Amino acid sequence: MAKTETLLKMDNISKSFSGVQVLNRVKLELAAGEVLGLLGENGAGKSTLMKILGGIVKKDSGDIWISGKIVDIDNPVAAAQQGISIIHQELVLVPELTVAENVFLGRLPRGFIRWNEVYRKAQDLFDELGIDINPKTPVGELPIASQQMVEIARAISKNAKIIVMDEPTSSLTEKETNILFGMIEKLKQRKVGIIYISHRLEEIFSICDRITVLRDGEFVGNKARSEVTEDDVVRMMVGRDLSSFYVKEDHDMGKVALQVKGLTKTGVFKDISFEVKEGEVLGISGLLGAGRSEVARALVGIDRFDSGEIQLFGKTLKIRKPIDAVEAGIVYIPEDRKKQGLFLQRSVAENLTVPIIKSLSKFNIISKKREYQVVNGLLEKFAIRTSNPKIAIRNLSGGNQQKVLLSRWLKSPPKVLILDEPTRGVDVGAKAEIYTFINDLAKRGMAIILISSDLPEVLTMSDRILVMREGTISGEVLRDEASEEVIMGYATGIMSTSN
Amino acid sequence: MSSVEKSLHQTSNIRSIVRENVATFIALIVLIIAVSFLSDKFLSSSNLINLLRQVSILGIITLGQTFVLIGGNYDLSVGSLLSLSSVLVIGLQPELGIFGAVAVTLIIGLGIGILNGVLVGYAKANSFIVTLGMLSVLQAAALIYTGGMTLKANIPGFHSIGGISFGVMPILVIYFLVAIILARYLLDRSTFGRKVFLVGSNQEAAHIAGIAVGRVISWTFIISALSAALGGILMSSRVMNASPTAGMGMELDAISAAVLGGTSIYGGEGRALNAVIGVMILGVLTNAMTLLGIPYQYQLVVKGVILIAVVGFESYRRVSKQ
Repeated sequence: MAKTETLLKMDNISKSFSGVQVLNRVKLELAAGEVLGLLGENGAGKSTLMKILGGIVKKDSGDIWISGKIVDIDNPVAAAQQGISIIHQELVLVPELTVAENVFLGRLPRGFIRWNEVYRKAQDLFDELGIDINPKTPVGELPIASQQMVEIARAISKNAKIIVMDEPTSSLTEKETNILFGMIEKLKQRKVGIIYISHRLEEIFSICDRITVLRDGEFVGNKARSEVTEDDVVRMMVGRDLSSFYVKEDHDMGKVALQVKGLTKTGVFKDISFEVKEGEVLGISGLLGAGRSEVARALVGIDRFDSGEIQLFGKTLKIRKPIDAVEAGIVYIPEDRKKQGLFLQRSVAENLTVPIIKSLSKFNIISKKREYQVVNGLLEKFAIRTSNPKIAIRNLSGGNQQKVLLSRWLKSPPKVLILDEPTRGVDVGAKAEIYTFINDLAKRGMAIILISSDLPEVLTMSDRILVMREGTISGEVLRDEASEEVIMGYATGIMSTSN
Repeated sequence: MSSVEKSLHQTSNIRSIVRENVATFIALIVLIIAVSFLSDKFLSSSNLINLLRQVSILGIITLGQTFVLIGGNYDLSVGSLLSLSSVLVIGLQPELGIFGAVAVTLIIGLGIGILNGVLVGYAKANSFIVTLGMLSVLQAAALIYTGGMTLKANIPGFHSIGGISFGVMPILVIYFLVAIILARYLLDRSTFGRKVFLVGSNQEAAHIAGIAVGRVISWTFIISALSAALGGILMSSRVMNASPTAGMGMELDAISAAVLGGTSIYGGEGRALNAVIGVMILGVLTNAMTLLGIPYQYQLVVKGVILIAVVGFESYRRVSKQ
């Protein structure tokens, strides 16, 4: 390795939360102008390590060196003073304020503000970084990718030397991802050190110079990208071979379960027609904003639609509220786990028994004994890792939370299950388990709609793929004909069914 | 697996409830010890029974309020609903008799609860504003109905509803105990209680999962309103007269007590026994201040400061947890 300046060194970092060791003598090194991929399954300790770096969590022991000096990072302000900036998975911008206001948020001059100067300074910064965004636009009107650029610009304007990006591409399309990667190249030239956290190995391998892997709170290894293959890294992460990491078993399909005819909501989606058979996994792909989730939300009564018909086994349904859909046997597992799926302060057990609580009670009195029998059964069957089903679900990792959301519906299985981005922010091991899970459900005859931005996921899991573009179905591809190129062709409008 | 199950069963007993509320429970004990040093009358059995009787009505309202709070809302109308109920139940007696008056008063309480519930649960109006408006309307109704006068009950039999004692045990305390058991069962064991927690924890997720959010919220307001109406009836029966401002400020006491006991003002967390501990703390404090001869207006200052301090502390704890 060429002799580069070591920007950051975290040495022998340990941390435990109420007796549970989450980090044990972990080390990490970052050079100026380098992109370091930080990898590990959920619960491996990545986020805790980054929270320590960001001053959000205090370490129990170990040292942090920045540019060769030991530093104390006790709070987020101290971290910012050391030039550390963390860009979280969920962006923390103020949607109502303009881009420029967000960039200089908290650092606008006191008293009267000369807005022209603020906008000019923002414009100068954007020009320098090659960002093409109008500083006067309200942030809420920008796509997520642009919002991310605003966050990066904010970090740079604060003279950040170390930028941590936590799953930055989880809600980006491929094109947007490329823009982000271009930005990362620019940051490298400015000698910024970047710690890049992602579950997508392809990305890690295309953008990172080195890779550090953690497992169960321990340091596993630190390798140059050229030294390892994707398989090596997966093995380091899970400590076992995952040769059949994407699997799809074939099985028979039954009759048509769900049939949607001409579903239209003005300005959102138009003339959506499709059907799903029992045992079939129907993938729905498309760029962000193509209207995929909106169709799903209308199907299950969260949002209204203007016209069209929904039939289940040939019977027309009247769905006005989610409860109508649930009672008919159509269940939607939303994209935003925390906001729309989980009851964060409630226990794992309560989260698991939401739809079946009535069947666990007599005269509306819940039998706790039966509830915990069912809960323990589900926890065991789906390998949901929790120390105790009584703890609040917010303490579980993303993968385990997702498994809870899925298994919630399995005691009285729906006929149609709509999964919206089921593996977003979920680690490799849990991802494989969720795939097996989806396969099992399909095998048992459930009709499954899988909405996903993750192309390899849609390709390996689906029997058939619908591609949406600007609120309409732009293409339908069978499993055997499907490839990333074909899907992207339909999604971007290069290909269409009419020609 | 069996060890997990065993530990789960253990956690639903009284011991664990005490454990989960250690801080407030200790606060109550410390307060009782401190007050017993300050005033030698405090620990006398007559004062203790008096104390229990004093907190019973507030306790019943606080239990009702606990449902609303867990569901993620506030009910500020309970104080003036108590006032209105207490004057109605006496004012209606000459025409309807005792049972008719009690029944009509409870039905009016039910109606107010439904109204609050529909506005908040179905029309999605902000509960703070809706019940603040209701507070004003009901208070005005009580004043108009009585012309601002105190009403006197003339049928002696009315006193036996809430004024008598069984031995040393006032009947009010028995009502309170029954309400505690009922609230605890509803919250911890019933499917309805479970839904209240889920709705209060994440209304959007509850809606998507197929829970009838509007109905659940409406029921919490109905329970709260019925507890206030019952509180008014009991209060009138005990003192055999009713002032149109008897319940003024009780909504604040009820919210203070619930929050003091550990029920979250953000919804989704709370217990029936929390409310009881909170009510006891507030009761001991009021009792002590009265024994020490602290004037009423200063007592109000102390209570207000406690409410702000407790809510401030809860928010702080919440922020530092994140």
